[in-house]
Formats: sequence, structure tokens, C-alpha cells
Amino acid sequence: MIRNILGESIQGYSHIRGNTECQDSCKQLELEDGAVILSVADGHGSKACPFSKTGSEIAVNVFCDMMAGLYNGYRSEPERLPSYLNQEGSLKFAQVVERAWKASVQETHLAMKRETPLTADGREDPGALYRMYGTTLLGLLIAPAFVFAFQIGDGDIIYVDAQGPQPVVMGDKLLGVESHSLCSADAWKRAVSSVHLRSWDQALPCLFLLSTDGFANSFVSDAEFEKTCVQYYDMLNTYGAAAVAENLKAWLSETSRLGCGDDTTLLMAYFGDDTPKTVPPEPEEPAAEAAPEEPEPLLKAADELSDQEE
Amino acid sequence: MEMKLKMPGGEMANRPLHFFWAVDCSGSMAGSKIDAVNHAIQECIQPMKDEALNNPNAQLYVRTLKFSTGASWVTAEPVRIEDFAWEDLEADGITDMGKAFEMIAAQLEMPPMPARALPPVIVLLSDGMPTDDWKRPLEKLLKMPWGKKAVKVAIAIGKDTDRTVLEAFTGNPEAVLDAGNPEILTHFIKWASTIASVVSNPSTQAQQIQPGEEATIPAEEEPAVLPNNIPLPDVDDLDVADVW
Repeated sequence: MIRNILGESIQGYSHIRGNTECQDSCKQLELEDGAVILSVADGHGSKACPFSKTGSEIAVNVFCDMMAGLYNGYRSEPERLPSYLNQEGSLKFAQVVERAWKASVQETHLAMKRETPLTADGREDPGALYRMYGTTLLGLLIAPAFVFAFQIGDGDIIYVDAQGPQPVVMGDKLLGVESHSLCSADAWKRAVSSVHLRSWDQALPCLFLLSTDGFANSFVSDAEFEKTCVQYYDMLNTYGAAAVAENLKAWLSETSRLGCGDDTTLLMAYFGDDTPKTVPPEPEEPAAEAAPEEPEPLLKAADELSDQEE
Repeated sequence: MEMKLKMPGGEMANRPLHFFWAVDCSGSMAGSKIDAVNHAIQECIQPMKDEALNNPNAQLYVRTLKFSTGASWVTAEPVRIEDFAWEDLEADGITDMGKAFEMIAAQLEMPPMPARALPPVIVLLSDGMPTDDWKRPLEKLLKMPWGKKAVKVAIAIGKDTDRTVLEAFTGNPEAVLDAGNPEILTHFIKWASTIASVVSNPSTQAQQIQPGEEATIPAEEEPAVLPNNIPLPDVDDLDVADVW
């Protein structure tokens, strides 16, 4: 089995025109046993959130650190972690992530000697401070025996194999330009998560995609977005991760230019077999790869987990 | 050596933004009021087109709803701002504002309104009291997902306007602007036409989940704003005396 992690964050086309920085962040972390942690975050970028780039950086760092800490804490009995996360663990994890993000935001704000916002009666206003760093957060742990997905705010975590695409977790999307945010009071209540049992070598090749909302919003419909996820999967199968990685930044920039103009981040974990890639002679016209004869099952639903253990 | 590959991906598009002019064309608007509305909106169209050119990542659609005895759309479908032309309206009849709310609500259903759209903008211009049942249609409109998210502004034309219904429509007394003369009406209409360019900015807003727990900013330090950080119009240099 081969495993490739690849991703890019690009400055949105409207942000290029407006000369504002990219407020997205992404991070990956590979653990000793081969488990992978991926995270992307989308700083809100609105006038009320002038430091949201810093907020998104803190968010991906917090997710990777907290997830790694939890995962390593179960190293002696790893089979118990998916059960824990599928029960009260995911809520506790969301609370820990929110607390850690807010603590780190406060610490950063202080270290940068930035002015602290005040309430109307002159008291320090932590809510206003957090809002200045507002961001979404998406995270994924891909462990040898299971997958854990976590999300606060908009964006997508999608899984693709030979049977097609499916969301790993259903984000709670809001209409318009609003999103749930780590900066909100009790943000943990807005977190959604899922646990799926699967083994490393199940349904190869397969692909996990984490993206900020600038990616999906650039396509005319959900169906076109899903088609895009499948086409990325096909490109990885056909040309391999190195070739896709070389082109990814240009593709995302073009997607933003022709689409919604927002900052766009796409982080992918590709699991393939060891068969060497035979690159077609005409790279501008990628050939579709035939589907495996017997496709493996998709992700196993989290609900099945507790049933199995009873 | 880099291998340039054909970009994968489905059909792409910028995000649609629907802008509605809802104009009271009842008999009491006849004369200088409807003339001022026609003239002011006519003047706004080219600046709206120019502004839209600067933001290729949003597609602005404009549509006009006129209401008096009944209500009707001036164009059968939303019109891209590039192709939009204002047709002068005439005033006559009663004020079926409830019917207008009903017809706007039908356009905010999903479909025809896509979930990936930017928040719609509804500008209501009226000088009088509704003559039909407006409460139930408005209640329905405001309960709809896009009805809640829409940026709603009302311009009260003249001094006898029923602010109750306009404030109920906007949900915010500050979003009801009193236009007591043609100059200030023109100013407000031009300001309202610029809301589209503010809404089309793709930056995200954190949802206000628990208003009581959200941060407050001292009012004297910040200008009054509508949702989506839209500043209210400045009238400092205008003569606000009523002539209507």
C-alpha cells in the first residue's frame, strides 16, 4: 500500500483583487504507527475578524496537537478509542479543542500586544477578542483501524473509492455567508463528528479530501462538486500523487477565479496499491481508469460500531 | 520536470446574488413620488453594472416587483445586471403589500433560489398603509431560510407612511429610512443599490448564536450597521426637510 498526503491553500481570486491575504490554513501530522492527522481551517476574513489568518493557523495546530495527544493516550489499548469517540468522547474532544483554541488566541493576542476590545461598560470582552480571530475547523484522523472526522463550520470532508464519493461527516451548513465558528460562545455545541471503522488496505485505492467552502462553492451544484472529487481521485489513480501535487496550486487558483473567488484549501490523503503508474502519453487528456472488478465496501457507518461490541 | 495536466472538475460558476426592487405603485405615489423613484433607480443602474464588473465572482440578478391593486413582476425572470434596463413605473390603485410579500416569498423558495447563492437583497419602497392582509404573508416570508438571511431595507416615502409594516419587514427600525423629499429619496435609493456590492464580498460571518453572550462594541465608536456589516447611509450633508 502506498500513502500520499498532498494539499494546497491558495489566495482567493477576490482576495487577490482586494489585496487581502489568504486566511485559510492546513496542516498534516504523521504519527509513529502510520496514523495520519489532517486539518484545514477557514479564517472568516470579514471586517470583524481582522486576525482570522492567525485564528485558522491556531485552529489547525490545536486540532493536530489535541488529536495526537488523545490518540497517543490510547496507545496501550487502541481498540477502545473509536468506541470512546463514538460515545461521549467526541463532545469532550470538541470542548477541549474550543478551550485550547481560545486559550491560544488569548495568549497570541497578548504576545502581539494588540488592543483588547472592551464592553460598553469598559470591561474586557473576550467574546469580541475571539471574534477577531474567527475561523472554521475541519479535522480528520486516519488510523489503521478507523477514521474520525470532526467539523465546526462550513467546508467538506469527502471520501472517494471505486464506488463513488460520500461525505465522511455531514457539516451543519448555513445559508449565505454565515458559518458556525470556533469563536462563538459554546462553539463545541456546533461541532459535528463521525467515527468509521475501516482498515488501512480496505477498498484501495481510496481518497480522503478536506476542503474549505471556497472549493465546493465554486461549483454550480453539489453534484458537480462530487463529480470533481471523483475526478481528483481518477487523476491520482492515473498520474500519481506527485504529478497531481505539481498541478494542484494552479488548479485551485483557476477554480477560485472561475468560481466563487474565495480562498480555497484542499488537503488530500490518497491510499493506493503498489502498482507502478504508467503515465499515458498525452497528459492533457487523462484516460479514465477501469474500476476494480470487485469493489470493496464503503466506509462502515459509526452506528455499527457499538452494535459490534455489545 | 513538471507535467502539466488538464484540470479536473465539474462545472464552475460564480455565486448568484438576487436583488429585488419592490415598489409601491398605489395612487398615493402618483406624481412627484413615483417620478423621483423612477429617476433615482434609473440613475443607479449604470453604477450597479460598473460595480458588478469589478466582482466577477458574483453574478448580480435584478428584478422589480410593482404592487398597487395586486402585484406583478416587471420581468418574467430575474435579469442579469448587464442586461437590466429600468422601465418607468406608473402609480394607480390601492396598496396590496401583502400580495407583494407573497410573491417575493415564492422567489426565495429553494428552488428557484439555490442554496449556494449569496444573501438576497430586498429594497421596499412605499409611501402608504397596506390595504390587504400583509401580516400572514410577511410572517411566512420571514420564516423562510432565505427570508431570514435576506438583507431587507425599506424606504418610507413621505411623512404619513406606516412604519409599523416597514419595521416588521426589515426587523430593524434602523433599516427603515425616512425620505421626506426627492433629494433624500434619491440618496437612499442610490445607497440601497450599493448593498449588492457589499453582500457580494465572499468573506464569512460568524453566526450570532446567542445574542446575549456575544460581544458588544460601544455604539459611539462604531457607525450603525445592517447585517453583513453594511453601513447605514450618511445624511449629514443633506436637507432632510419634508416636502411630501
